[in-house]
Amino acid sequence: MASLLAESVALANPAQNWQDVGRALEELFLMQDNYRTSSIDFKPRIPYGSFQVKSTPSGLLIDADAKTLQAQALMRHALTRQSRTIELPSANVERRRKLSSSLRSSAKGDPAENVCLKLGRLVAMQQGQVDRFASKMLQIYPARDLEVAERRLRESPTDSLSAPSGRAEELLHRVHRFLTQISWKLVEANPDTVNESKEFGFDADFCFDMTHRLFEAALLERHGDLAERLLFAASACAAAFEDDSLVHEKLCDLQKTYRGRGIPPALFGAKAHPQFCTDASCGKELGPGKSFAWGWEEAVEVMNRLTNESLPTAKVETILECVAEIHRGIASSAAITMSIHEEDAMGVSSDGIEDAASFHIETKSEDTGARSRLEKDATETLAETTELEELDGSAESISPSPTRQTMPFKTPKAVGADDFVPIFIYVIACSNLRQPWTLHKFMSTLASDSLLSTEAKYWLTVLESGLFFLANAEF
Amino acid sequence: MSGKTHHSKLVLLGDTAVGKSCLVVRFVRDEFFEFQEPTIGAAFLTQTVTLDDATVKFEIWDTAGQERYRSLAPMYYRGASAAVVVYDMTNRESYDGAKSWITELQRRGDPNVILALAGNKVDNEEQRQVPKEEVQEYANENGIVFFETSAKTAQNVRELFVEIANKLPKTEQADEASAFPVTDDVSEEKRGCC
Repeated sequence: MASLLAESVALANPAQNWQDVGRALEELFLMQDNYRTSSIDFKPRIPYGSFQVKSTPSGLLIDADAKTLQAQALMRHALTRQSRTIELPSANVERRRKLSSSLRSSAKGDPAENVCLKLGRLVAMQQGQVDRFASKMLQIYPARDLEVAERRLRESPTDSLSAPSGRAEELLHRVHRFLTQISWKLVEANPDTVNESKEFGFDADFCFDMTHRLFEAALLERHGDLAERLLFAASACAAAFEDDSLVHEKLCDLQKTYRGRGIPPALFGAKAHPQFCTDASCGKELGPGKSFAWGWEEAVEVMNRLTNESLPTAKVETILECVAEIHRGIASSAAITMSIHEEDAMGVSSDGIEDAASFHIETKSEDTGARSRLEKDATETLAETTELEELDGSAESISPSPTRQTMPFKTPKAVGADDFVPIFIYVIACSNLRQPWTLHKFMSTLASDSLLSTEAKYWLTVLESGLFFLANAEF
Repeated sequence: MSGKTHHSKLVLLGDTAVGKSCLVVRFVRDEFFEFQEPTIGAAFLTQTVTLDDATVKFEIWDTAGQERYRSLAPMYYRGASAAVVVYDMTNRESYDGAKSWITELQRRGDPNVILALAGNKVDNEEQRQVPKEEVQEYANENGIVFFETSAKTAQNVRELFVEIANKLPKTEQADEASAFPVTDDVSEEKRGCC
């Protein structure tokens, strides 16, 4: 509650009134019950954006990670009142010195600093690293030009970088628009700075975000060369995402464990292509020295093509193709199982069915009660192998009199997430995606908005959830 | 307000084999039987519901109901404006599962999300394991939309989604931006300093 109030106070006050912000915040701290009664320091801990402000009987204590300008505001407030103490517990002396000198210079009303302050306040809502960005910018970009950029921005109310409408990230776009404008000037003047984005000292996420926005700007400005460079820079930034190695290691382990046999789809509760389950081994040997096939090779192949595509939109389209391929696979397996089922119903027992049925370890088994064993097998095989479960009771209607007339139109099967997700995860596991998280981030951020507002967003979520599963599951 | 189309992300939760995808296929493609394809992709579907005063376009996100994939559900239900938890009324276990989904959504989900319970396979009355009254009471207590449905006979399928559409807040989407008047604030600020 208090943190919310503090936030709104901070946002409601223009940059010049940092002291008011500080005072208002202090009053808020005073409202906390335990402020006065506590004999121990730092009682009400108020998480405030990316840093923490703690109040102590002697004043405000700002955490070492205080990087945002709100934090600086508080510090300035504390600095102006000598009786108060200010502490940066674990910050190095150098940083502290820099910070206070920057505070002093801004107090004099240096226009460039003001620009950065504003920049900072905008971005601080999202990121906690703006002071570093601001100082870096000041180093490489003359203050006068920043002013020009700012004025130009102010003079053009129609956004040259219009945010995609109706997206939840509207706020983020607004915040970054200003930042982008200035950075755009920066890279336009000197394209090489693009490659220095890491030296800005941001984490991978922020770098990526920044580069992404610049990329959009470059596209809008029809600055093709720069756009291309930015695209590569974005992937370079993204390559630093930590989780990639985790998933990659997991996948390598998996593929090592099942070398020569292929990863069994059952590991994910996914179904093998029934076509292959008619073998006793429930997998098809492709030849000496080759791995077994489990029936989703085409989809894996499409998935592997992700690495070849360079444009984000093309990558998303590849994902959609992979989705379609899996659906095709399920469709053909549904057709196959249907014929197996029909044989079975006519009393032609097939080993394949048993294999298929016993293979699906994790799927549910519907106890349908007093039925002959044969019928029950058939029902389970149907339900489990292809989830031929549409219209709920269709298995029901098939089993008592399993003849063709119960399926006059070859009843279509609804392939929901229950079927799809395990297969998709299996396909990811079999693919050789080196930087899966990066890929996901790359696609979900950089692909065109019109594409992402469609069902592609769902499939990217499936991909994301699959990666999450692979990173965390124990096999 | 009329003439406006509201986009609504709706997530489907529930154990496997309760008929989640069949329910949604019935809702989205009532002409079901006329289709000759062996399969219909039902993991993501959209369907529009026209109300008196507004049109709601549902984007229906299916989730994998297997226990092992349970932890993935939050990725799917984040940002959803409605959640339909499906159970099979001929299967007590699936109802227990549904209740735990509801609990999870209440605890972790967005508090404004519209929750709905669908007791599917009501066409199969003789195998009923979950009494309607029991669920109705639970739904009333928790303020949840509840219907017993049948994807097979289409009973209550449309009603369920229309009820959800009715309950959805039909507010403009610009709220988020106006809640943080960043741009205005900035311009004032600029005027002040120069």
